[in-house]
Order: sequence, then C-alpha cells, then structure tokens
Amino acid sequence: MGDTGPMTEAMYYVLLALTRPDHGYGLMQRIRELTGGRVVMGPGTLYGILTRLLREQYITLRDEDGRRKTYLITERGREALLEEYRRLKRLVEDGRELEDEN
Amino acid sequence: MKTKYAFHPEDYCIGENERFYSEMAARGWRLAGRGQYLSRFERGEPADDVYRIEVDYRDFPEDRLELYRECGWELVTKRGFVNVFRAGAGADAPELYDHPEEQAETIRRMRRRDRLTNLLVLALLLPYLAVLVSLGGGPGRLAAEMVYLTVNLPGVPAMYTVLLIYAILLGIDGSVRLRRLIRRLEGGLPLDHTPKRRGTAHIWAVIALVALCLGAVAAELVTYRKTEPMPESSDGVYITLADLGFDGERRGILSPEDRSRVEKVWTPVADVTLVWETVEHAGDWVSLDQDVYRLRIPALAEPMARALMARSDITRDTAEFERLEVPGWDWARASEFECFAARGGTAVRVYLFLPQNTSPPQERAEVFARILTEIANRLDANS
Repeated sequence: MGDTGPMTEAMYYVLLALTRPDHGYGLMQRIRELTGGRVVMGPGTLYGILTRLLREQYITLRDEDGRRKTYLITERGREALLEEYRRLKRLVEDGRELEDEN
Repeated sequence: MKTKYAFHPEDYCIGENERFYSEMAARGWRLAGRGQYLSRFERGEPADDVYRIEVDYRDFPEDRLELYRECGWELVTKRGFVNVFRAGAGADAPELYDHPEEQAETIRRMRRRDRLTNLLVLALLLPYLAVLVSLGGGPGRLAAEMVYLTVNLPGVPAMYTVLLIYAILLGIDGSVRLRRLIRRLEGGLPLDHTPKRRGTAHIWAVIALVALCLGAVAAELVTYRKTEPMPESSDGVYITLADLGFDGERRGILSPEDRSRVEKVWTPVADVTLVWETVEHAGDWVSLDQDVYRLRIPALAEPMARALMARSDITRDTAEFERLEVPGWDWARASEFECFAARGGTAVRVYLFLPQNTSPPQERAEVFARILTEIANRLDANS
C-alpha cells in the first residue's frame, strides 16, 4: 500500500470505518462495533494511522472544528481497501477446504 | 500545597518512568511537572492512577489531545520527547497502543532525533578538540595540559573525565535500550509498562558530579599558596644564582613585582616550589627560574616533567630538546634555555637566561646538569 508498506489489520479497519465520515473517538467506537469488540484501538495507534493515511491520500479531512477533525475515505483509499478485501477473501477461499475437513 | 522533587529515570526508559509515576501516585504523590533530572509531585490522596508516556518532541495538536482526553488520558506534563499522560483507575482508558508496531514508529523517531543530537554534539566537540590540538602544538600538548591540571588543580580533570565518561555511557545506554525496545515492538510484543526499576544510572552520575564539583572547590580552597621574597641563600629544594657564581644585586627586570621570590604551593597532589631570581651581573641580566614539584604520586613524576616540557613557551619545538644524563635523575631533557627532569617523586623545570655571549650551548648543558645535581642534593637533604 503505497509507501506505507503492506496494509495492517489496524489500517484495514480504519479505512473500513471511514467509508462514512467520522472523528477520532467515533472511529474507535465504530471499529469496536465492526469487530464485535475484538479490536479496541488505542488513541496512539489510531492517530499514527490517521496521520499516515492522510499523508498517503487514502483519507481526507472532511471537517475541522479545532478540537475534533472528521475524516473520510478517498477514492484512492477505497480502491486500496477493496483490493485488500479481495486479497483477504481469496485467502479465506483458499483455506475453505480446512472447514470442509472438519 | 505540599510538593516534593524526586529523580526520575532517563527519558529513554519509558516503562520505567511509567512505573515510577504510578508508584508515586499510589503513595499519594501526584505528578505535577518533569524537569531534566527531577520530577515535581504534589501531595494528594493515594490513587491507582495509570501513567503512560508518548514520545514526541513536537507539541501535540489540539485534536490529538482531545482524542486522548475522550479516551480518558490527560496530558500532565511535557519535557523534550517525554509527554506524560495520566488516567484515573476508574477511567477504563484503553492502552495508547494496542498495535506495538505503531508505537515502534514513535520510538524510531525518537532514536533518529537522539542520533542527530549525538552527531551535533560530536560535530561541536571535534572542531573544539581540533582547535585545542592545533593551538597546543599536537595531541601531546593536550595530554600535557591534563597532567599539569591534575597536579595543580586535581578536581578539574577529574570532573572533565567523569563528565565525558558519563556522556558517552549515557549515549551508548540510550542507543542500546531504544534499539532493544524497537525490536520488541516490531516483533509484536507490547512495551513493558511495569519493568523492574532501572534506568537510574544518571542519578548516581549526577550525584558523583556534584560531589566532584564540591571536591574540586574544596581542593582549590585547601590549596595553600605563600609567596615570599627570596632569602640570601637557599633554604629549600632550589639553588640560587650565587651558587652558580653569578653574584650581583637582585632586582626585577620589568617592575618591582617581578622581583626575586619563592612561592610555595600545596595541592592535594603535590608540594610545589616556584623560584624566580634575577640578578645584575657584570653589567648584564641573569635569570633563573626553578619549578620543583614534589609529587605525592611518584608515578606522576616523569609524565609531569614531560608535560612541563610540552607546555614550554620558550622552546616550542620539541626537537630542540636533547637527552641529558645526570646522575640521580631518571629522565632529563635540555634545550638552550631550559631543562626538565624527573626522579622518584619529583619533576622539575629550570629556565636559565644568560647574557648572549656567556657560553656556547654545549656548556649550558653542563650548567643544567650542575643545577640538577645541586637540586638533587637539596632534595635528598630535605627528604
């Protein structure tokens, strides 16, 4: 994924959560919901990822009221997310026979 | 409000600092500020506060602080790279970093900055050393200055050495620890927030430095100096021009202040006798300058004699010095005007200024040998 290296799980979820506009704390709640509480993202982790995604133009700043910034995924980010989704899907499909064995 | 100060671990000991502040809070001391070496605490109720450190030399933007605040983390204080956040026990604040590799990036930035600082220090230090060396006439001159200082003011080189060692060790320690931490985080292991308490080496270094400063001041205070007019005949470990056959009236060359005199100096390392004598002889000036260092550390005798020689302002080119064999002296060198020698625990410098046509240089070597022999006799008599 650009200069940021392979997409990490944290990046994947941030991009996924930003398919609708949200601010930092809202994003953390959304990711928690999306993963059924499996991923509780820390503010340090989240802020680092947002900074990098902004730099890579995978997300954009939608709104800013000083204390809170609202972000949204860009077209470039959506393509990267979709590509990662397809890659993960292929991985899951490739491993489906494991389930069949059980 | 009651406050107290305590030494904190080094900046790069992140987990150690977090644990330190949490333990202080549990004892009723809430962090209020962080300085270079000390942190300030205010008295409060014992609390199970959790402390976490974010490393970033820039000020946090407001939206980032707001995000941390919404998660239960309040910025307490910032000093350099160290930003200390606190969360109350009931705040249920999530860890700042659930993905260790994300935290690794912040530590990498700290290390890059740390390296840059080290390089800058080195860049500043190297030209400084180069200037010292070139001004001094070579690396030997620098070593000579250190030996000379050790004898005349022992606290200064000791402090300089400790400071240098401290800076080097701290640099190495920080570099190794940060490297180890980055590897741990990159490997997916989270930072250890409650490590065994370490990272306090600098505290002892600071205490040692303060002690050395006090020691240096004390050494200077106890250094004893006494200057007296020169007696008619020698009453110590030196000779007079009359002993060499130069009779005449004693007087200053430039002013009454530089009249013939004997100065006795006591330092923790040496008993020093500094003698300056000028006489008017046969219508011309003759001067004799003798510095006799009786050292409490005998091994310093030859290094001190060599240091005195390297520091010579009269004979700048060391090639002009020739070996001088004098019974009773282990090491001796002489030029046209000066000689330097060492034996047992004694180092001497002798400067002899004779009128232009008094004698050719080879005979001066004989004069120096004679002076050294006379001084040796007096040293033996005084021992």
